[in-house]
Amino acid sequence: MLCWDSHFLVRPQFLYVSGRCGYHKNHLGCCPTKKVIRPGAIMGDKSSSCRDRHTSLRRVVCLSSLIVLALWGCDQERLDQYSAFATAGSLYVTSFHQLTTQAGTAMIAVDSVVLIRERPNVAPDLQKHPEQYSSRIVQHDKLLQEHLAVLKLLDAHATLLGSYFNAIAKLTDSKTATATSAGATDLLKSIDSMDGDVSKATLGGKTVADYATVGTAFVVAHFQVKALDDQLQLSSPIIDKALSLQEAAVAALAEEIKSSLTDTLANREVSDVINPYLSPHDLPGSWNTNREAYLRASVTLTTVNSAQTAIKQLHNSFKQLVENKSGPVDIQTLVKAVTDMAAYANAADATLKTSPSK
Amino acid sequence: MAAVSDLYSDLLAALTTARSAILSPEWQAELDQESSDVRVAAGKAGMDLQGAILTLSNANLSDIATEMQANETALITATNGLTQALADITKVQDVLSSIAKAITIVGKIVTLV
Repeated sequence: MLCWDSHFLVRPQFLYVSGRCGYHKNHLGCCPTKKVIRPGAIMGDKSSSCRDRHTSLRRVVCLSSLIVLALWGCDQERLDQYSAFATAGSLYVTSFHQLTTQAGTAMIAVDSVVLIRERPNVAPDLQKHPEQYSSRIVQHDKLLQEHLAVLKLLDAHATLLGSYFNAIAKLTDSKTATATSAGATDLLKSIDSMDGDVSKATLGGKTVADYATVGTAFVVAHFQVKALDDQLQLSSPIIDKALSLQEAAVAALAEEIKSSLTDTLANREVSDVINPYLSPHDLPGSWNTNREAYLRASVTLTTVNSAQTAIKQLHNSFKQLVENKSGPVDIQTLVKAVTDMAAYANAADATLKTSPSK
Repeated sequence: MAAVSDLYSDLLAALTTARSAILSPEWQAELDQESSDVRVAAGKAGMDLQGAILTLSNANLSDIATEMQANETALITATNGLTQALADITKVQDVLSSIAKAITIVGKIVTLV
């Protein structure tokens, strides 16, 4: 820490031998004494007014230096947190892609379960009127394809958001900010354009916008890196809306996964565990493996809400980063939340798509 | 007058509960005691039920709000009837009849196969 001390204590270079005031150089007004002093010597007999003025000035200068350094340090720490936020955002996006894949798989799986289960019941009629059943399957396929298209749109939206977070993290470096600013603005325009389509996308009978809750508008703080500052002023309402839509989409997807997979897993218990056990034939060698897969999948499903916690935390963290230059941002909680979501997504990938072993 | 979103939620919940019931081994055990014609009817009802769920899930509430309100009474009656029938799946004909009524009402709100 720099501190510009007065001449009568610490800084020998301010001490002169010839009797001139070392602190004020040629200005002797505050230092009436003309006593010869040795360099480094403590001035013991300065007038009290001069000493008091020096002391006060020193304190002001020290305090000002501390404040400037503290603010510079806080601002830099906040800029560094944008990188951590972007990393968490990337992990969220990866896990979100897994979530949408699971939602699609779950919808297809439960539809297939119904068709498979009813096939023996309708077998006598199936041969007589194949066109009726063919038409049903085609219609179900069409409806599932419409649903998969919605999931693909949500995926693209999340990908754009992740790219944008990485772009603004690069804006925190004043050396590269100008070069990356245009790219960030282009991404922002794409997100703004896509927000409209995502708002209108339908999940569970409601549009994504219907699920979204509207919070209070951001009040963007000012940052020293002008490119970042300009970008955040422009983007905060758009990103706020995009994150609200992501929260809504995740909530709808989680409900959909739970609803679809509950029936699929119930059927899996019957087909993979109970029926083979009750069958007069030998128990298949894979029975325990299939049973374990069913049990683990059931437990995995109970943690699907971790996705909602993650996106909510991502939204809150962005708000904190943008609004409050010096206050704390709980990046640790964000990292934990997205890590939990990733753990769910990976476990679900491993267990929910598993087909029974023979 | 009930909110359209509540009508929709109640209907979809009743249909998905019905789906869970017809996928249960207990339901299949009841069907196994019925005639081939009843099993065929039950199989078709199950497929139509799933089709109705898919169609409603993809529909936009704002697009179907008018039809839902126009059929509000029938919707509530069908939803309640289905819930009551599912309380005792040993009464196979009651369950199949209530599924058919619910799907008929859904067909007035959205286009089914």
